[in-house]
Amino acid sequence: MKKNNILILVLLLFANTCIAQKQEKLHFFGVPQVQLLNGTGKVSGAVNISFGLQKANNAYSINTGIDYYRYRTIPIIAEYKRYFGNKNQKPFVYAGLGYSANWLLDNQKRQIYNWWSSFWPTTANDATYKNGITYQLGVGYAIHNKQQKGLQLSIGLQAKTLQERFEEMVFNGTTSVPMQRVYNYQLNRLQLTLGYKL
Amino acid sequence: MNMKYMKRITTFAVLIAMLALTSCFKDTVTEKYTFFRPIYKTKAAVIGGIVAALPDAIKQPGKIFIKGNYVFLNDIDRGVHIIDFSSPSSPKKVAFISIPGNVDMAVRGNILYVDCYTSLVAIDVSNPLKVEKTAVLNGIFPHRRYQNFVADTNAVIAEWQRVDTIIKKGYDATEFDKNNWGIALPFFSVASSPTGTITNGTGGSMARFALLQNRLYTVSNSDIKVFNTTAPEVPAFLAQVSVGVNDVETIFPFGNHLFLGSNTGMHIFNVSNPNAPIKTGVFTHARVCDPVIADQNFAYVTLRNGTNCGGFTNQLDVLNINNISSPTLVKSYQLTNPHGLAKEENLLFICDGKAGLKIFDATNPQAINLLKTIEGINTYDVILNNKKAMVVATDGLYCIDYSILNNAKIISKIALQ
Repeated sequence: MKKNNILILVLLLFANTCIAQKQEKLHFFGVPQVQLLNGTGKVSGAVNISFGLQKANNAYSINTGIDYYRYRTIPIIAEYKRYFGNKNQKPFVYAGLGYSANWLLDNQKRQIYNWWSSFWPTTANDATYKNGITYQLGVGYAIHNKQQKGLQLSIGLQAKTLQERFEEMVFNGTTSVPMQRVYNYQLNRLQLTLGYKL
Repeated sequence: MNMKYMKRITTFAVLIAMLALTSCFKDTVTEKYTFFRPIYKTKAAVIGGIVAALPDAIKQPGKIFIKGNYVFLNDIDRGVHIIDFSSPSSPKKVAFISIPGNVDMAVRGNILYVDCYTSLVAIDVSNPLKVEKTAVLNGIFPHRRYQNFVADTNAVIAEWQRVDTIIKKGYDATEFDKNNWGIALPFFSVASSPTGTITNGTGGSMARFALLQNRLYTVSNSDIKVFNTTAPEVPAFLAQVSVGVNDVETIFPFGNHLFLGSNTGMHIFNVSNPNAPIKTGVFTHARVCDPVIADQNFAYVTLRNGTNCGGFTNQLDVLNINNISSPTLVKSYQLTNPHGLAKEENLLFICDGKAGLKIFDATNPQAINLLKTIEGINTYDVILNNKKAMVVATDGLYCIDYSILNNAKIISKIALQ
């Protein structure tokens, strides 16, 4: 009995040691997240997943998901997260930079009506859309268990860009000629994120 | 450094950065676009600037006129190119007369009549490189309008300056509403095809100027103006006659009649009294653009749709005008997008837009047959002269030899530059 208790204790200590050592080793993690995005006159959301590698308090990950703010896009972000402290509950800061791929809904695309038709059909998609970049910066707080898994709350600034380009007829004094009009959008918002680290 | 302090400093720094960047929570848009700004000059300065110069590049070909071996080609709102076609296979640009606001013209003797915005100007072109203004009549063309700019009698638009603009502003959802009105308002001036005596030149079917006997007839959107050109260098205004509609585009003289094309019909005026055109007949149709020509018994009207014309029709209408007061439709022939036309004996030439120049046998108006198509050119108007068809297209001026009809072909071209 005494031997069993000692053996159990040693195993427990060994396990604890292993867990402690594991946190210092490079390990894989994933964080599914939902986000509330608040910008100029618009509140929207996003869902994404972050997966990557962590060693000690440094986490390197790739974020991707769907961003519904004004124009639906798919962000692909390389992110760095820095935790502070050795406790299970600890703050962190994060920053990321990446690519924003357009995935616009039809009603988010430019539509044009023809004056001279006897009916007015909607002619969609006379514009072309160019992908942009996305970046983010923020702070958060992790509520982890002993296995360093658990909730993560964060607040930050996120921005994405995209370009809309279309042709319009412009009067040149004699006739109307086709000219390009280009809109470069920069959409900035406050990002509130709730995730669960796996 | 103590990790605890490191943590606090880093977190604090990020928070400060975010607070400082709260203004960056606004969506912005950088807008790049181009518009054209009119540059105004006084009418006196513009009239004074009508001079001939060495040949210039053709920017935007418009109407055409032939006198002798010379072709006068309008460059819309810029002036008139004088081209020597004495050798049709190798034409040569001789001169360019800068005439701001010019879209129409006619030639009687050595006098070139042109519009210069709202003014009618007579120019002696005996020496194409040293032209002289002989008369200026103001206020003749009050219909000259350029979108929101009216060509008044004091200040006129001498040129249009391209302005490339970049502005940055906040994102306004209503402004960037994706339901936008299309803007498509090409401003084509249409000409008629005047025929005349030996002293008058020959114009295309899209013109607003026509020479008949010793009279120059010009049409605005709603009226005919009559000028006495007995002394060609000093045209004298005689009369203004209302057409009764507000969408006249072309005028074509034949015999003792003037045939006017408008968006809604063909109007016929009797000019037995050359100073007082009298309306004698009308043939109405759905809203389209329609230049018209005529011979002794029939009128030929091309109807086309387009952003400025509206409608859906693209066809040739052949009308019986034996009863001039009541023209009747003989038959309609479907085409692609017909513009100007001309006729020589039984041959009918139609500029069918991108479909090219089409040559028809019009011996039997009930059964007009297509004989030949000159493809590959986006045609606008045509004048026939000595078995040569001078065709204005979007990319230049073509000379087509149809002396052997089956072998009608392009023998020369003056391209845009």
